Order: sequence, then structure tokens, then C-alpha cells
Amino acid sequence: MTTATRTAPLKVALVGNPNSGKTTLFNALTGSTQHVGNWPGVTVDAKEGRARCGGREARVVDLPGVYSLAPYTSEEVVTRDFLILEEPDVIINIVDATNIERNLYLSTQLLDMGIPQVIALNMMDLVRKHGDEVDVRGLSEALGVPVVEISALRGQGIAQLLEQAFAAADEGIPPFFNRKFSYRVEDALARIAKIVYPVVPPEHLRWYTIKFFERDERIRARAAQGHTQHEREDFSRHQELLGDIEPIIAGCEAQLDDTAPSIITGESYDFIERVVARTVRRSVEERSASERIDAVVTHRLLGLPLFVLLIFTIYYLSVTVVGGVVTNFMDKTFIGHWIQAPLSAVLVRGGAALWLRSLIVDGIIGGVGAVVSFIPQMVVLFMLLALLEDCGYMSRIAFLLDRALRRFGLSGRSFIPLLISTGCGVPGIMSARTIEQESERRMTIITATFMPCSAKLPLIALIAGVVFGGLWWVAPSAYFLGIASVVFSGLILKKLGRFKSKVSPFVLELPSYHVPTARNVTRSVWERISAFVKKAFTIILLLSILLWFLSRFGFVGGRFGMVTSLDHSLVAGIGNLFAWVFAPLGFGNWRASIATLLGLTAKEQIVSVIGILTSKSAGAPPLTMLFGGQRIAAYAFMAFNLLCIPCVVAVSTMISEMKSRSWALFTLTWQLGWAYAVALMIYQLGMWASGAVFGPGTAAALLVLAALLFALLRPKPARGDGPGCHKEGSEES
Amino acid sequence: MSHATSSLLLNVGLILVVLLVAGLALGALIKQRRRKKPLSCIGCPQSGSCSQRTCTQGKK
Repeated sequence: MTTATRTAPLKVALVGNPNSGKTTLFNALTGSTQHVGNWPGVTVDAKEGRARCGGREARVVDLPGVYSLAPYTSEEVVTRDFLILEEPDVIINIVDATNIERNLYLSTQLLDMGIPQVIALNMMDLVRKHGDEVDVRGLSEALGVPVVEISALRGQGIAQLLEQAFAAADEGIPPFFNRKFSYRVEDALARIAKIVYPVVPPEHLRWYTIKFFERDERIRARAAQGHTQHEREDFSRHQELLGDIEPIIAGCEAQLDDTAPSIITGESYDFIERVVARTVRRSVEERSASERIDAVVTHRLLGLPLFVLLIFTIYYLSVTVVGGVVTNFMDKTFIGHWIQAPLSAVLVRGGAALWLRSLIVDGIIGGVGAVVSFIPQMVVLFMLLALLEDCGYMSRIAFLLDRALRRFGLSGRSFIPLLISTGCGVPGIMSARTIEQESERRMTIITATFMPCSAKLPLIALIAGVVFGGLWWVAPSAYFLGIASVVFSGLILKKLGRFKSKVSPFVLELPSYHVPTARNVTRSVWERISAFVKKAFTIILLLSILLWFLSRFGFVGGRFGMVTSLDHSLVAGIGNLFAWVFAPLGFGNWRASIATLLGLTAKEQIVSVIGILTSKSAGAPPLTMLFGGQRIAAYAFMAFNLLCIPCVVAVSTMISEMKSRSWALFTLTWQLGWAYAVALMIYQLGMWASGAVFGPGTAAALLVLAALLFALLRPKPARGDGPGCHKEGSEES
Repeated sequence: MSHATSSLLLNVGLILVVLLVAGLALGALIKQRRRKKPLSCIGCPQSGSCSQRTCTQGKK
């Protein structure tokens, strides 16, 4: 199609290996702000954007990162289906130039498809930095497509890439890819092509033929569906001919003494080796800086203690150091003295009704302000975590945890959703889609929200700062309480019949360490903070109004009206109905009960509720009195709210990802039960250890502890020993 | 204008502002819930204009 006749925007598919910089390129092409992470599985949801070049527009679709077009993982299925069914005008195949051999494997498959494409050779700045060279023109000639050098991270070569992509789409000419397999394979492919020719789109004949040779069942089924009624009839007529394919494949396998998919893979890599030998010149091999750093941070003994130390430092700096100073200023000075006090004075002078003043000053500003005042420490926390992510350190943690957890039958594969859950549980739960094994995926979904997400941070900061006076270990302990809950509840779940399975292999590419870019770090922080602010001014604001109404009105002497004491309010009545449930956990009062219940709508709401219900203007007791002045009760309150059922949005995601009501119900019950058990043990055993009398609550906590220990230590039925963790990249491949 | 009238106008104005803020918050909340798209929306030609939460194009 020519430029003149084309009116609709071009459809551009962005395809590449995980971690090749695809999402960074997508952001650079479209000006979008999608989350960029240096671990696989970042792109699991629909991502589309618009790119412009020379006054023309293109619809860019960021497809999940894949290593091949074999239908082994859900990402591969999505990517392949898109390319076959949606027929993009052009493919931009992003290739990580620092890992060119592995990336070209996907490229050969894409080139076989016969769709116009351009190769974006990314990270060329790193290649040059290492002293290596790539003959771009030679590579382009060998592959039969344009190759453009780019650095997605630094925005270099993007305009030229778009120009080439538009030109390739306009010409509509498939790549001149002249890769030949060995004589026997080519002979088999030629005979298969003759059989399948009538039932597959001619422009994709080569690719379909190879897939038929590999006995790809999905492709066979796809051909059976056909694009048109005519094609379906054709396929039906040719069904009997398809029976002739099997002897061709079997004959070739016998001659080459290998399976068909292995033959194709092996010969593809032979081809890639030849191309790379001609076009890539590497400097003398020496131990890279990444390898030297990895020798320490992924060390068997030093790795995990170093990780613990880093997390402690990050939480201490953000929650205790920054939180102690800035949040206090935000809450008391900025919101209290600079906003609430003058506004209240203006409203009094203007003659505003008492209830309206209370609604605006205590309800809306007090409720939203209580949450917003935690933004400074969240910025610091997420900036430090983003620095760790962007420099490549967090990928090493997944590798380290895989090595440690594998001994207990758990996989480091689950760590990536958990890591994402430290920002928000919703994408964390969704990223569990990348886990193939159903039982492992379910277990990850059940445990992902144990990690303290951004919404839980205000609660951690409140308890650590106000109740514990900034004690150094309180805030970091919340993070480790999350990890411990994931590990221990995971271990217990593994011993249940439904979760018994082999530990699936975990292949993780460790990116080279690099200096984090300000753009990526800022984007990561902004993404999390803006979501937090949006929630503060939507659901938190609405619930603050509702809570204000319920806490300021009630029945006194049989008449409904504004109450002078919150203890007579509607919310006190509702809270008292549930308070007994939390009594064994140390916070059996209506205020803490309401905070916990409303926390199920959004976890930030807990702090907002506490702000409204401990407002001085309402004559409420200070925060510490919510827990009877006992720090252990406050810690149990924090632990329960961190671990129990997450917010409604995360619950609805969980239900849809579980694809089963009974599993969703099991998940919610498990999370509630786990949180209750942990909080019960913390409060009851903590009180007993600090000299309180042994009572029924202590006995119950000891029983729960014994039951959990039994569940953990009982013999494991039929343990699966999956293949070990394979690390690719800097240490081994 | 008497103090009682100005006070009445202030109260009415404040109520309207509170209702407007609450309405905007509710609207934004509903819009956010509708904007989420499932994986099957990748590449769907209707994805720009579609507000359905489950696919009507037969995609899983």
C-alpha cells in the first residue's frame, strides 16, 4: 500500500526478548510513561500508544517480551497470536546488542513470518563502551532487513527507526531473509510446503511450514480454523494430505537423529553463529564490572545479609529519618497550622454552620491530609527502591531467593510478582500470569499481597513514628514480616494436596549493572505516587466524607443528630459490633475495628480513619490510647492490617486472575486466617514475654504456634525436585 | 447584605462545593475502573473506543 492510499494509522508491533529495552523504546516512541523494569514479565497487560513521524501516525503495540515464538508461555501465545491474527503493517524487532546471539534467535523466527520489519539494535552505547563493534550494514545484508542502531534509554536513533519502519510498511515487502537449513531439512520443508500451501496464508508459508515441521499443534488448529469459509473447506479437503506430513518429519528426524524442534533450533543457532562471526567483533574477554559486583552481591553467604542490610537502610532512611522530620511538618505545620486552622477561622468569621466546618476541616481536609502527609517519605522510599531496580540489583535478589527458597520447594519465580507488589498488589497479582505452573501461580497470588505496598506505608510510618517514637527496627520489620509470611505460608501451602508440584525451572537474565537514569527513576516514583494521590482524592476523599458523617452523627436520647462525643456516633455502634473479634489481638475497641474494616476498601484509609477518629476537635483520645498504651498491641494492629485481605481493587483482580470463585474464597480465607494467627501470636506471646499473666489468649496463641510448626515441619509428601535456577548473562549462560 | 444573608449564601456555596468535589471524585473513580483493559485487548481495533470489561469480540 502506498502512502497516498493509506488513511488509517499504521499498525506497528514492538517485539523483542524480555529485558531488551522494549518498554523503554515504547515509551520513547509514544511519549508514554509505562513502567519499565529490568526483569521479565513487565509487559503482561495491553499497552498501546501513538507515534508520529513526518506528519503521519502509527499505532504502536508493545507486545510481551518473548525468547521465541514457540507456544510455551502465555506471553509467547499472546505475541504470536497478535502477529498472525492482527497482521501488523510492520514489526519493530528490538534486539539487545549486548546479547546479540540470543536475541537473534527470535529475529530469525520473526523474519520467517514474512512480515515487513526493521531491527532496532538497542544498547549500542554499551557495546561501544565494552570496546565491541557490530557491522550494522553486514548484519542488515545477512538478515535481509533494515537494521537501525538505537539507544532506547538515551533516546538515540528513535527518529531514524520510525522513518525506516514507516518506509518498510509503505513498501509492504517482506524481508529478504535467505537463511537455508541443511539439505535434509530444506527437502522436508519443501515437501511439507507443497501439502500445506492451500490452507495457509501464502505470505506466511515459510513460517507455517516450519511450524508444521515442528509439530506445532496450535498452528495446525489455527490452519483448521482458516481465515475464510473457503479456507476451512480447503483445509478439510486437505486433511488427509496432512497425514502425509508425519512420515516426512519422522524421516528427517531419523536421518538427523534428533527431534524436529531441536533440529530447527540447532540449525537456527548455527546460522546465527555464522552471522555473528561475520558481523560482530568483540574486544579481549575480561571480567566485567558487573561480574565483579556479582561476585559479592550474589555470593552464597554474603548475598542475603547484604540484601537485608540494604532494605533496613532504605526503610530506616525513608520512614524514620525523612518520615520523622518531613511528615511531622506536613501533618502538624502544613496541614494543621497552615490549612486547617486558618480555614476554620475564615469559616467561623463567615458564619458557616458548625457541621459544615467540621465536614470540611476535620472530615475532608483531615481525612485526605492524614494520607497526603506521608507523600515525602513515600517519594524517598520509592526513589531508593527504583534505584535498586534500575541499576539491576533487584534481579539478583530474585536469583538469590530462588537459590535459598528452592531448598524448601519454592521458586524464585514468585519473587518478581512479590517485588512488583511492593509498589501495588494489583500489577503484582497480574504479573503472576508469567508463571506457567497453575499451583505455583495460585500460591503466588495468595501470598503476593503480604508484601507491604505503597498504600500500607502510611500505616507503617504512623505506627513506627507515633507509637514507637521512630524506633529503628519497626519500619524495616514490616518488609521482612511480609517476606517471612510469603515464605512460611508458602511452605505450609506446599504441603497441602492442591499445591504439591515440582518446582518449576526459573530462567532469569541478569542485566549488566548500569548507572540508573534520572528518567526511569523519576518515572517509577511518579507512577507510584500519582496512583497514591489519585486514590487520596477519589476513594479516600469519598470515604472520609462517609466516615465523617457516621462519626459525627448518631442517636442521643432517642433523637438523631450531631453528637458531642464520638462514642455515641453511628460508627461507634458499628465498630462495637466487631470490636470483640479483635480483642484477642489487643485492639478490641471500636476505633481500631472501624479503621481495620475501612482499610479493606483502600489501605491508606486506615490512616485517614485514625486521623478523623482521633481528631482533637472531636475530643478523641490520642493514637496510643487506641491500643491501651501498649506498643505490642499497636504492632499487632499493624501486622494484622499488613497481612489481611488487601483492598477491594486487589481482591477483584485476585478473583479474576484465580478464574475460580472457590479459589478466590480460599485465598481470602487464608489471608484473613494468616493475619489473625500472626497478630494473635505477636500480641499474646509478646504480652506474656513482657510479664503479663498467662491467660486463655496466651494458650490460644501457643496452640496456633504449635499448629503452624506442625504444618511446617511435618514430612513433605512427594517432594518435586525441579531443575535448578539457570542464570544467564554476566556469570554463565 | 446582612450577616444572616451572607452566612446563608456561604453555607449554600460551601455545600455546593462539597457536592461538586464529591461528584468529581466519584466520577474519577468510575472512570478509573472502566479504563482497565484485559490482556485480550492487545491489538483489538475496537480497544480505543471500547469500554467493556469483558471482550465482546470473542477473544479470551
